[in-house]
Amino acid sequence: MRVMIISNIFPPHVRGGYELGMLDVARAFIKAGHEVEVVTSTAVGVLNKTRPVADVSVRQVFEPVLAYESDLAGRLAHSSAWRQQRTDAFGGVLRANVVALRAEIERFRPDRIWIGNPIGIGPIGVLETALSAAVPVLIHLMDDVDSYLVGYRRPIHWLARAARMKQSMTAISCASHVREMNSVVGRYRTHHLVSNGVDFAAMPSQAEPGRHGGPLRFVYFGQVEPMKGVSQLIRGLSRFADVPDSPSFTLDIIGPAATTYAEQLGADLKARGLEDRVRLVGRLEKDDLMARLAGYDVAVLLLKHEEPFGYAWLEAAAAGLPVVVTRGRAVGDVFPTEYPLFVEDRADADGVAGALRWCTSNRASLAPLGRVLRAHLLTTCDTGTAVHPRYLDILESAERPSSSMNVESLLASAVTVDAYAMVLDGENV
Amino acid sequence: MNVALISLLPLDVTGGGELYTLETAQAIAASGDDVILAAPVRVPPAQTNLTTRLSTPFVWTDLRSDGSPDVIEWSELLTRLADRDRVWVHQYLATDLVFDVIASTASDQDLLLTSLGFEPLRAVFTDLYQPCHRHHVVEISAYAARRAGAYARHASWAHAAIWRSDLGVIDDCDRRGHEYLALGRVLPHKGLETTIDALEPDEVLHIVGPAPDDAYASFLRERGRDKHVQFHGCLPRADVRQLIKQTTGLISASTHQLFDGRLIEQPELLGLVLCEALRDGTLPVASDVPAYREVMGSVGLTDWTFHEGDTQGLRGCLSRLAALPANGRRERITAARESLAAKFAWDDYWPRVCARIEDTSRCA
Repeated sequence: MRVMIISNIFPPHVRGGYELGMLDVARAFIKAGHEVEVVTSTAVGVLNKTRPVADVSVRQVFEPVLAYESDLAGRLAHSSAWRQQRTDAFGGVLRANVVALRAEIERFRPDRIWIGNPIGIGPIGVLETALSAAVPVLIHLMDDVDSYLVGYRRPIHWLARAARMKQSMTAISCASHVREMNSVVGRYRTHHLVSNGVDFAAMPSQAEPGRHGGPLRFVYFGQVEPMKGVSQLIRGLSRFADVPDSPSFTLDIIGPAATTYAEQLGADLKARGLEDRVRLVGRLEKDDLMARLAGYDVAVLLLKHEEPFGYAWLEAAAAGLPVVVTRGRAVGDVFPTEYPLFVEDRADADGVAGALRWCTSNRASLAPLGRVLRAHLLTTCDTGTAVHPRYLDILESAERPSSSMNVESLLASAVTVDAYAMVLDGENV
Repeated sequence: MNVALISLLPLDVTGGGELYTLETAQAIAASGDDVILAAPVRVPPAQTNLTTRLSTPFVWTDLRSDGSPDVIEWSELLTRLADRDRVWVHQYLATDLVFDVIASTASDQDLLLTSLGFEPLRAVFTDLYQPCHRHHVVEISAYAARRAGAYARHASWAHAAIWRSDLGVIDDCDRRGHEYLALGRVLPHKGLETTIDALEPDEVLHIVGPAPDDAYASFLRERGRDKHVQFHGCLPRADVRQLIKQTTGLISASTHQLFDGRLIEQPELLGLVLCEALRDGTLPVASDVPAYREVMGSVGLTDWTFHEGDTQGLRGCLSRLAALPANGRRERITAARESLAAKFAWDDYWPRVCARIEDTSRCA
């Protein structure tokens, strides 16, 4: 079967787990014998963040996705042209992307279209163009896409259109709350729940946490940004360290950070006297990161409650690490009910410190806890035995849309309503 | 099939346009399709910002439900369109709400657009609108469709004006000679001064309908001071039908050239009143504005038209009408009513519109 995968960004443009998840999906489909082509945005300049992939056919046909570049976005925040472009990219129609996707569909003639994250490439235009192919269209949800549609509507809003399109699509959500969040603007025709997964067997080595005589080694990895709970981690760590005779420890913070935020973190660590024990490692290639995980004792990932599904805690667990983790919605879907390292509220520095303290007080229990967690998650989150087989079943069984969308009509409507928005803008109505 | 019929003007006052929308809803329902009817509570501004537009209150009526209509905001109405196979906007040139509908209907939905004559947005729409094959401009006359050709080259049209079951027996028992009727809103484009000027001293003109334009109403009263002109204002439907039965003919003298010298682009898009006169058994006499010419031609009554503003031409028609024997008059009306039943019936209006849509889709 010819499967077209659409993803807003794709290596070498990498931000977090979503696009790497799509890479994983692409590889799974190829391994299952399908012909796969990934259609994505063009990586230019700073967007080339990692190595491109060589084993997947990638077509960079969409406009570069710049809206996530926080330094650039911060500098341009007051530009109306920037705001308009970003709004269309996040919640509307980018006509050039519609034309590009139509051409790709005509050229590749897919039997299935599997959409990853459409935010940043004009989601309404992308979904409607995909549905014009008259083949089953699936969307793989790992983020709150509906909130972008609601939050970024422009002078003319597209919600009814989005709701209409959902009626023709199959959705796969990576967590129960992701399914709920994406059922705000209408409902998908069929909506499956499949947890994200990692290849447990592919982890390069297994950790033996706590079984050494040195300081306990904590690790955070992922996007280094405020919403990932990095600042809360520093505060909790500071509280943990701020008692007489506190056990020795180190913390590595691994991942890309905006310049301003990295400077702010550095200053905060210095002010708290933690600069000798906490290292800002920066970004690592994924293979390097996975190889390095087994050298730590505990992963600390204080993600927000609404985090769609952090790959990081799954990867840490697959490497045999216990994870100090916020009891978020996705975590609640798959973690053991009885687990000693849940943090209820990441803003509660005492609670975070308490979880860290449990690790130092129960050093001998870390390895068995890591093993139990790994075994538990293996049953639902292992790509080889649980996740990919479900993707493939859903891909096979997805239904065609009951009616076909039409790109020419979409473009004509977009031109009309955009023109009217400009008229109102020009007249200051 | 699920259809949303949206009027962009309120339906609380029953004029020709409003009636057309209400009958359209009935015609869809009569064909067995599911239809909701929506209209704003108040006349919306022709152009305004998104925030104001989205909060515009609309009445949403499900014709298959016995429950009370909902009053919802425009934003809510737009989201409800997702469940509709076809969305039909009446009075689409009345306000910029039409652009929201264009945005909100996906390209697997048919969007139908019909003007009923109130067109403050026409210039903007003509400049900006991009046609596509899921949009169907379905006007109420060939003339209206020609006008829409400026921005929608595949604009089509379908006539409708009467239900066949309303074509009762022609009743001439109470018919009075030399009495005529003018029916509809008393507005400058109706050209009522031409009708008044054409009256002979022994003739009576009944003017029935609301008079929202004070200056024009005063002008007409002055113009008809020495003639038998009766201004009835609004009358109950039964009284109107009684007048139709009693009068010799219905006169509709609409014109591009207004009493105060202004020239308008279009005074009428169809001529519902001409069809209703025939339905109720009276011969219409009409000016030759394009829409009237089209209607009168369609029912074989071209010889009962006069050049717009031509008092002498109208006088000639009235003299011929007065001289027409009762049986001759009845023959003309009967023949015209047969054409009316064949070409202007609400009974098969929705299937005819659907056929037009299929035709244009095939062409596209």
